[in-house]
Amino acid sequence: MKPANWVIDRMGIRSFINLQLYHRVPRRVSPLDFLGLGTLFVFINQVVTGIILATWYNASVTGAYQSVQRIMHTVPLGWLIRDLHYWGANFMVVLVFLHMLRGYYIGAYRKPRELVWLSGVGLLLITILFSFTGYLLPWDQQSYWATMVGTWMPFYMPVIGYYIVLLMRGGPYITGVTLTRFYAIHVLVLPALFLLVFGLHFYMVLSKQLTMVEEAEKLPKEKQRGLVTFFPTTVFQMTMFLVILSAALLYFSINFHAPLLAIADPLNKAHYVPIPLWFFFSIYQLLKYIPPALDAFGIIGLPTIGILMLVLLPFIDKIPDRKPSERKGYVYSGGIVVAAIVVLTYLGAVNQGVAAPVQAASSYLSTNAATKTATLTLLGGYGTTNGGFNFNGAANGAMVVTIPQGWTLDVAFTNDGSLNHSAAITASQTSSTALAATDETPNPVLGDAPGAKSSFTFKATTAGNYVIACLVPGHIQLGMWAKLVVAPSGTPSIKL
Amino acid sequence: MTVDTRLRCSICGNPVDGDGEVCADCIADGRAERELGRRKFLRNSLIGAMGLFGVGYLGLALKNLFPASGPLGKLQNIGPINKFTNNYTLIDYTGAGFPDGVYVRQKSPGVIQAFDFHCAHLQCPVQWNSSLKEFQCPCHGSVYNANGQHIAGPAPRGLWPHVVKIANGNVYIGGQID
Ligand code: FES
Repeated sequence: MKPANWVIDRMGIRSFINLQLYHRVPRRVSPLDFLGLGTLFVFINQVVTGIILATWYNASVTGAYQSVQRIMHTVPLGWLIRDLHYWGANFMVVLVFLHMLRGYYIGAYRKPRELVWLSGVGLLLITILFSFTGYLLPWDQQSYWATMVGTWMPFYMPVIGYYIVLLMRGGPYITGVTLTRFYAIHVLVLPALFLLVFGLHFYMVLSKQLTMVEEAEKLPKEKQRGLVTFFPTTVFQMTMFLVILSAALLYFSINFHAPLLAIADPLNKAHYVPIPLWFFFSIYQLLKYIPPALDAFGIIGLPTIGILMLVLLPFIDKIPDRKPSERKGYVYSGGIVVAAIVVLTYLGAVNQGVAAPVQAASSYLSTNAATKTATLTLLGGYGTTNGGFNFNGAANGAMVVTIPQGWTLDVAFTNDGSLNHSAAITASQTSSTALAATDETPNPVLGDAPGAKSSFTFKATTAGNYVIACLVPGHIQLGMWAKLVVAPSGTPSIKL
Repeated sequence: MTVDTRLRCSICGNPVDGDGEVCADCIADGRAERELGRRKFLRNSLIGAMGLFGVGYLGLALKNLFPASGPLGKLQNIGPINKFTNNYTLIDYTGAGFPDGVYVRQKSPGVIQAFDFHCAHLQCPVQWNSSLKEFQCPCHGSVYNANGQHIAGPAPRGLWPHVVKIANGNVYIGGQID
């Protein structure tokens, strides 16, 4: 007897295993059927890479950052292990989300699968907590300040809010106490919780699948022809799916490295602007649109309602065996929510922070009345306003430069952003070429590289309204333009 | 070998119809009532004991993990008063046991103001803008005036002040006041 057979025999699960392996399933499957399997695979990736990382990691204020640096630069293949763990975390959030979306679409939460769905919601929340606690561990600026913001959110819960903050942080602010706390939760509490809830989830899936087997067997003989046995046909398809998934994971890990910013500075002397975890971008962005009075509701109320809706769903939409085409209301409203999340996440990604330009407007314009010359300092992509598509931190015409007719405007342009940018004087916001070839930085369509400086001179011969724009395609449309007014008389001025 | 899978009466061991816990005979002669009462008591004591263990461990964990609410942070000497102008400077206050940014200025001769640099909205670090004379938060745009009062943005209140003491020409900063 082979050892595997011996174990199966002694465990008395032969018939169960045979039923699992040889039950008949439709031949044609969709990759969407394997999203849950993919999530499990990535979870295993997290466990393996996580254990290795834990052996090198040092959970202390003085040691955490250095130990992550060591993992990245000194430990053999440490960088790859860290990147696999980092991308695995992102993959997992996406896979769980897609997996739930699919379950929602086909109505897989209805009787008798309510517990499959509810345990799935639990796994979603645990996955988010995994990311949230893991994020702090590198102890860089990004993790420190994102955790500062994230752990303050419960403050807006009625009555118990501040106590939860204190419990999470272990004090009024983020310190080494918070770090060890998050580490313990990340590597001890959450994995145990995940396995527990996953056990329920998986057990329910397997036992509910058995009813599917029965249903398949009940089909008339002609219809049964499209059926194949789960092993080996479907198992092979699953393996192929995992090969592709792991290739994608490896591709991202090798080509896009997990960031490590400067070490956490509780005094933030470098004026780092905090950004949240990417899957909180949507909520973060939404908060920008609601009035301050509703802010607390947005922080606490919306996520609570969202979770509540997920939990209650199996008890609201109960009619069994309805196809998606018969549940249009659910499908459409779900579609709208998902579209909103995607759009808000995108907007949140390009609009991080509103870092106000600290310089006074007047510092950008100097004038010489004797020579009738004004010099405009123009910083393209200054700070994060409008996703970096701005001049001197102002976008969409918020900056207005006025010079009298007959004056000369020297434009000293610096590309302060992270993309190529240019500057040119155009007739209007819809024009994509400069007034004249002399009224633009060299090669304005390609733009200057980040950090580059260039200049040009504009003679204000005709009074009227003009536009200062970046001519790199698409940048005007994104709001990278300012107003230039040539007044019949007066003195030069600038407004931000 | 055939296995009898019928449920059995949990008192006398005879087969029962349906999925009952006891058979009709045992109910009829009153044995069931006594036995079931005893079982209920035992079951409840089991649940009670488990509950007590649970509460005990939970209490232990909470008592251990909940930060003790001690006195406000210790006073820290941050230098002679004439060092401070009307413009805010950021001080590293460590009197509470960890580094904390505190903005300090001398508003008028002999009057010191000190505000924690964590925004009252979600605790991003605010920046003092000396030309506009206001604190700006880079995260969601809350703005506070030079006296720490909230004037714009989503923050629900002003910046948290810190204890200030002046002695022998030196400025001392203490813990954050709610
Ligand atoms: S944290 Fe300052 S405005 Fe939100």
